[in-house]
Amino acid sequence: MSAPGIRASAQAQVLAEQVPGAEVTLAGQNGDASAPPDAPYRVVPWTSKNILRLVAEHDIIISSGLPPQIAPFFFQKRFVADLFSQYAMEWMEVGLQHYHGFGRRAWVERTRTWLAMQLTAADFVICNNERQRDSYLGTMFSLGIVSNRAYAADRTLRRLIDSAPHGVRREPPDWSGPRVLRGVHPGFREKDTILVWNGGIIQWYDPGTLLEALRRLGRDDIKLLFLGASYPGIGDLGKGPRFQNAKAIAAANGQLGRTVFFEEGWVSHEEAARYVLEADIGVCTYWDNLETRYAHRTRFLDLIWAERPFICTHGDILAEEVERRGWGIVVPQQDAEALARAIAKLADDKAFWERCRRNLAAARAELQWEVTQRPLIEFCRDGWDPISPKAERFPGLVQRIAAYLGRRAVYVWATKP
Amino acid sequence: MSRSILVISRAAVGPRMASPGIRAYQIAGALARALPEARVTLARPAGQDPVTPPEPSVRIVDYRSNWELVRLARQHDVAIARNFPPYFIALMGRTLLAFDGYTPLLIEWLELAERDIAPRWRRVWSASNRWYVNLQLTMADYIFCADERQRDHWIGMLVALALLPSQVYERDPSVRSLVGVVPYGVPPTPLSPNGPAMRGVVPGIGPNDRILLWHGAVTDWNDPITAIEAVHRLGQKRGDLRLVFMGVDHPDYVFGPNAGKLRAAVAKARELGIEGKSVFFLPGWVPYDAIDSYLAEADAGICLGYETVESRFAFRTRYVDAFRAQLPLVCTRGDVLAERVERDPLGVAVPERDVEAVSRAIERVLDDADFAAECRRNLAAIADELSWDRVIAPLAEFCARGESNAAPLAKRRRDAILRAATYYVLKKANRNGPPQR
Repeated sequence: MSAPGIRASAQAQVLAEQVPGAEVTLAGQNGDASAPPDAPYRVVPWTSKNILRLVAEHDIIISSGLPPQIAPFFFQKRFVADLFSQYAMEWMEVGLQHYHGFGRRAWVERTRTWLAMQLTAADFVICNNERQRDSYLGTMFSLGIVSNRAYAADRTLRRLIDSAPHGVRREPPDWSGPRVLRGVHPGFREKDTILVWNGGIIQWYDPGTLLEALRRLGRDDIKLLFLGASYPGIGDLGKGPRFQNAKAIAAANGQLGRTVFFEEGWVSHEEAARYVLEADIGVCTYWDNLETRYAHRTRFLDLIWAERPFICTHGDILAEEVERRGWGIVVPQQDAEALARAIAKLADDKAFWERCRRNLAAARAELQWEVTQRPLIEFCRDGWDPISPKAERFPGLVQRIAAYLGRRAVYVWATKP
Repeated sequence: MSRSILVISRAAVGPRMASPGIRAYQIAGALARALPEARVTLARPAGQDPVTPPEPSVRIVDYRSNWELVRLARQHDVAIARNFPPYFIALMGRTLLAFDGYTPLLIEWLELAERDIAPRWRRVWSASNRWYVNLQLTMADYIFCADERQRDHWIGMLVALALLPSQVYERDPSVRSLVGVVPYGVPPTPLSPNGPAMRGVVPGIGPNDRILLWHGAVTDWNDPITAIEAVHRLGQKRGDLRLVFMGVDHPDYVFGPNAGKLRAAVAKARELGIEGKSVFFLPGWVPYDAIDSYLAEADAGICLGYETVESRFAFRTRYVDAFRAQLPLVCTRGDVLAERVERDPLGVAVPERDVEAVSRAIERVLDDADFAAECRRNLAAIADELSWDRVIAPLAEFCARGESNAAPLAKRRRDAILRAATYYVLKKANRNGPPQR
């Protein structure tokens, strides 16, 4: 599982526990999905064939992408759109990676109309942080979803759209478990300081600056592990040009296999925990752009959970927390010198490292899924009427589904190989 | 590079002005200082008293109609305004249009709709407003607002309107060249009071009284009642407290003396029997150049509201006066500046509708001398941070650059015509007269 799957499973879990009398189904796109043995929810695969039956069987449908087929059920059911990323920006970056010219523009238009459809179809929207919420609210204002009635019903509009951030693993971290690096992997020695990049190397990340910083440090006792190069279910998202490029740089610097290691297969969610627990420092570098501004880097949640002080680039909302709450060090984009200093500081200043670690431990309680998903739990439990009346949204929904289908067709045509 | 820049004020610019007029006036001055080679014109609605230009080089021009404004803008390279009349579509591609989005208009208008518009016309009125704002964004070559949160909001709107295509992002992935932040600034001049304004002038306010100044209008999203109740409660144990509402006749006539909230406040003060004793409503509107006298006499500033989506996106321009005057503030949580008030601290931020918390906050800013001194130091620092000459930089940069990084012009022009047409149809369809805009 990657972040979206982890999030959906966690939501199913807390809803089943916190909403009295709820019967929760987790529908996955993959055919081999199965629930953990003690799960209080059932797991079924969904396909275009059974999706309508599944919708018909439930009262509330939560999805990170409501399909247009739900339209016939619009008035009978409650829909929640879980927009845990600012897709307009994230998919813009995806578009830059994969498409050119007209195809790229068609892709962006497809994203726009898809978002408009989600925001109109949803009776309640959740996202990952307040910045995402502010920008989605802007979109909703422009689309006319924030009507006078909606505003009169709730002047905070928290019952229209709210933040439900990604949570941390439920089980307490256990640093005494079996090792996976030191003494197991030939590249890692007992006294090494291990930096972990715990996630894919996607287009919008910047591993180059990190490799440069390590080259400048020139220390054999500092090792970097890139964990999880491939993404499950999303073809070449992880092993794209950025990944190849990182590997080439590491090879050219003579770091590859000596101080820098790539774990090329996808590491399972459970296995990833072992790597993170064994590492000393987390690290992730990217660009300070609009994608970053709205991003919620879910990989940081594992670092918080494992109490690994970390280094990240300035610009995203969790980087602000890193700075404010002392979880590690924030560096400007593409600044290898600052990054090298940050790595040395966390590697050598044990007292500082220890302080960061305590600050991270203090955040664990508020980042439990049942706390972060409170708005979703309340929506399902209290069953309030959608504050933006369905009848007001319906004409817009019909129009936006049509626009989306049209834009999707143009995109498919424009990007045909 | 010599450029001609037109700053358009749609609100009063003159001896008496409210925040939109002040902002246009100060932007014109700061641009003239930042770009000495540029020719800066400040356009204001005709029919007001003469006013000294913000800088000697700034030319002040009166306009009588939107057509006159179009003609004027045509003669400039850049036009800056809070809202452009739809006729400005004709100027797209010729004059660069910079849209000042320092107030989230649609949210304020949701509030006004409830006050001014009959329920059956609200949807139509709001829809016409929505298309009006959508049109502004479509015409804009540059958008600037007061803080990062507003920026997120405008970017979300651009996404909805297909105004953030890949071409924009490719050229500048930070998108700062299209949407920038220009806070409401603090004037470069130090506080210059000229003579007594309240103490010994307003009957009931003595030389040793402690003045809490509500320095600005009472709008529909303010909560003067909680302030009055807190002053009443504190009045049981101290007789030196004076809450002064500084201006009740808003120069742009949106929040006149008969507006609901102010009337309710006066009624409350009368009901508690403290009007003219510990609560004062000063009639009229304090002239811009006399504000300093009031600020200098106050001991603390106060402004309360509600924690709503309005406050989430609001940049409370009046706080800027408190920064300049180093007045510790008592304010409601929820807006961007209240976060600074709490964090720096610049005073005390309180939960909405909490009389007890407001009473404690008032005592703290008035009686805890160490805390007040710390606030004053931080207020001086933020005043420096928000000086107009500093905050103007992104806008000055856009004017100097002189090129648009907005979505491709041809499509924007087509969309603008369509959106203007939608706006006119909805405006005509609305039979319930909206307030003048």
